[in-house]
Amino acid sequence: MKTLGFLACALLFAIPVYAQTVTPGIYTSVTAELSPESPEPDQLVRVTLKSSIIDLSLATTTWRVNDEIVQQGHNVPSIEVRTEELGSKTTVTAEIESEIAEARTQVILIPTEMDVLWESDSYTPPFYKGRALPSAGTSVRLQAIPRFKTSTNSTEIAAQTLVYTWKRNGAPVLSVSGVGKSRVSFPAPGLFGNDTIEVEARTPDGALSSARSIRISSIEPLLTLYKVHPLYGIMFYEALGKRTDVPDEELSFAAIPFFADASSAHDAALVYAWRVNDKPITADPEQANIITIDASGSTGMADIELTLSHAANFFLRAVGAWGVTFTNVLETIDPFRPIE
Amino acid sequence: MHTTTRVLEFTVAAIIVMMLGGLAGWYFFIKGETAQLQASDTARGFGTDAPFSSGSTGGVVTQGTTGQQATNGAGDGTPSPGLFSRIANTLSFGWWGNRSFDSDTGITDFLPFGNPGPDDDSVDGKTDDVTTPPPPRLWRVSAAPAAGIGFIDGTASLRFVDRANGNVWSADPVTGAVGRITNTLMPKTYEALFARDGSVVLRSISDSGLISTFAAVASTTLPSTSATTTYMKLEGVYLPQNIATIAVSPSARKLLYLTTNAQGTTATEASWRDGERKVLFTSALSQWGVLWLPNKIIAVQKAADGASGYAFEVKSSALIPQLRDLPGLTYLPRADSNAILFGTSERGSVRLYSQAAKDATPVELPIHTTAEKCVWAPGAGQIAYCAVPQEINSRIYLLDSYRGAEHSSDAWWKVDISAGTAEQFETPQTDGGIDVFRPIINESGTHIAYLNARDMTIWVLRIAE
Repeated sequence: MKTLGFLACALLFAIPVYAQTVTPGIYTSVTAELSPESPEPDQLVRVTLKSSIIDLSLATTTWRVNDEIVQQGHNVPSIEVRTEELGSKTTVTAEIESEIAEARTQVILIPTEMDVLWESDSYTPPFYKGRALPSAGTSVRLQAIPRFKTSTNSTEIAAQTLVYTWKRNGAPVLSVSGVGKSRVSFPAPGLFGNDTIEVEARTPDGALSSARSIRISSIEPLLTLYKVHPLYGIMFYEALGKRTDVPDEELSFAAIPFFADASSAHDAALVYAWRVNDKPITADPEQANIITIDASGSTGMADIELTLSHAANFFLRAVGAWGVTFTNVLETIDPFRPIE
Repeated sequence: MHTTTRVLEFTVAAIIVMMLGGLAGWYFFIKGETAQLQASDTARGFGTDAPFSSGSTGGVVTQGTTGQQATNGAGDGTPSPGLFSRIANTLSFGWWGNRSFDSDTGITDFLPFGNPGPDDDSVDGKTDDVTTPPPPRLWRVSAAPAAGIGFIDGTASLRFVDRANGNVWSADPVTGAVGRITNTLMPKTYEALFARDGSVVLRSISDSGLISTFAAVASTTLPSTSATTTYMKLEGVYLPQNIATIAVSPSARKLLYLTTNAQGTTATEASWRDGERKVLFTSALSQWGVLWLPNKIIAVQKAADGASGYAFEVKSSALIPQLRDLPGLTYLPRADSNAILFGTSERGSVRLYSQAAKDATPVELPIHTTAEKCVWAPGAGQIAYCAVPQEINSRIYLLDSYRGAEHSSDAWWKVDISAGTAEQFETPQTDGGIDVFRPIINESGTHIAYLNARDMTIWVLRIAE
C-alpha cells in the first residue's frame, strides 16, 4: 500500500518544468536542476535530476530531447544539452524507473540573453578615450539589455515590458526594481571596496527569465599633471612623469583628477592644495587645478606637490608629486633657428 | 703721401672696428628683442607657419627626416651653426666654418623669422615651381602637434589639422609636397576628423570647459580681404555643445554624434550642417565609441583594463551584440566584411584576436597590442597591419596610454586573418620610438598614416619597400 502511495505521489507531482526553472516541493519525487540557470543560445546546459525518494543511481533513466531518446540506462542522473538559437524551444524529458516508483519530469529550455553594462559618472577630461571608473562618492550607471524571444512566433519581447529585480550585495533594492526598470544608478562602492550587483529580468508571467551578476570595484582618484601650452592647450597626450625637464622659463600646469567625484577639473567642491618647493601656492580660485610657475632667475628643480580633497566627500583624497626642471631657454636660444 | 696712407689705413681700420662693433651691438640688441618677441609671438599663435621637420621652400616641404628631430631649417638633421659662425661665414664669403656661402641667400637667412612663408600661389598644397624628391619610406610630415589626419578619396593626399590654429594642410606621400589649404583660425584644436571628401570636424574646449564641435567644409570662395592669398576659409556650423563622441560617415557627408542629458545619451545622425537629424539609439550610458563603416555602425563601450566591454551593431534603433563581456575590449571591424580584430586588456595582459567570419572561432594572434593600433588593408585578402608595442610595462596599459602616462615604441606587423598568421615587417627605426595613435590607411593600401602619441606629430609609412 505504501509503495502504491509513493507511486501515486510520484506520478502526480512529477510535473513539467518550464523555462529554465524547476518547481521544487516536498512532494515532488524528481526535480531537474539546470546549470547555468539561465542558459543562453548555443550553450551547453547540464540538466541534473534530484530526488529525495528515488535512488537515481539504481534507477533506469530515459532522456529525451525534443521527443528523441538521447540517452538511456542506469545511473544517468544528468545530461548535457545544447540550446538552440534565441527563443527556440528545446524540450528535455527524463523518465525514471526504479523498484519503488516511476517518475517523469520535463524541462523546457528557451534560451535568453542579457547583458549588463556599466560605467561611472566620475570625472574624466574631455576627449579621454577610456571609461570612467568608480571611486568613493561617485555613482555607477548600469543598463541591462535583455534579449528575450517568444518560442511561439519568435518575436522579441520589449525590454520595457519585463520585470527587473536589482540586488546590491545580495539585498534587493526595491526602489529601483520593477517593470521596465532596466536602467539604474547605484552609489559606487566605498573606498577600495567591491560591490556585487545582480539583476534578474523576467516576463510578467515568469515564463522566461535571465539573471546576471557583476562585480564592481572602486579605485582612488588619479592625479595627473599636464603642461598647459599657450598654443596647444592642455597637452593631454603627455602626462608629466616624476622628473621632467621643461625648456621654458615660465609654464602653466594643469592637474587632472581622473575618476574624482567632480563634474569638472575645477569643480568648486574640489580642494587643491599646491606646494612648490615646500611653499604653499595659492591657485586661481576659478581654475584651482592650474598653476603657473615662473622660474626666471631661478635654477634647479621645482618640486610640485599637490593634495586633492573634497569639500563634502571625505573619502576623496589623492596626492601627487612631480619634479620639474626649467631650463633657461633665453640663455641658449638661437634666435635664427626656425621654430618647430 | 705717407700721412695720407696712414690716415686711410686708420680710417679703414676705424670703419672695420665700427662695423664689427655695430654688428655686435646689433646682435645683442636682436638677441634680447627676439626672446621677448618670441615669447609674445608664441602666446599669440605666431611662429607655427610651417610646422615641419623639414625644409620649407615656398610653403612646400620637400622632405622629412627619418627618426630625427630637425635641428635646422633645412631639415637635414645637421646641427644649426651658431650666429657668429654664420656672420663670420658671410663676412669671409664661406671660408669660415667650411660652410658654403650662398650669395643668393644673403642676409635673409639670418632674419629671425627664417625662410619665407608658404607660397601664396599654393593651393591644395601644390606649388608648380618646386621639384621635390620623394619622401623617405617613414616620413615625418609635421613636427608640430596635429589634431587629426585623414586620407581623401580619389587622391593620394593626406589632410591634417594643425593643433595650434586649426588650419587644414595637405601632404602628398608620393611627392612629399605639403601645403596649407585653409587659414581660418581655430585655436587649440584638440581633435579633428576628416570625411573622405575632405570635409572636417574640428573639436576644442570652450572657456567654460565644454567641448565645442565645428563641422566645416573648405570654402571655394577666396577671402576678399586679401588679393594675394589663395588659402580657403573654413565654413560650417557649430554642433551642440559637449558632444562626447562623434563619427563621420565613410560614404556621405554625414555625422553621428552622442549627446547626454539627465535622461541618458542619444546618438543622432545628422547632415554636415546638423540638419535632417535622426535618432539612432538611446542609452543610459554615455561612454561609447562609434565606428561608422560603409555597411554598418558599431557602438563600442569605452575600454578600461579588466572592465567588461561590449560591442554592438546599431540596427533599427536596436543594439545587436557583436562581442560581449570581454575585459578591456577594443574592437576593429572590417568594412564590407564580417571579419574583425579585437583586443583585450586585463592585469597587464594585452591580447589581440582575429575572427575571420561572424560565426568563426576567434584566433589569438601572437602579438600583444590593441585593435585601435591596427588598420585593415583594402582589397580582397583579409590583411591587417598592426602597430605592436615592443614592451608593455604597465598592468593598466589602457589607462596609462589613454592618459598619456605610458608610451610605447611600436613595430609594425602584417596580420593575415585568413591564415591566422602575423609577421613583423621591417620599418625604419626612429629615435625615441613611435607610439602609434589613430592609424589610417589610404584607399590603395600603399601608405599608413598615424600620429605619434608621444607628441602628436604626423608620420606616414610607405608599406612596400
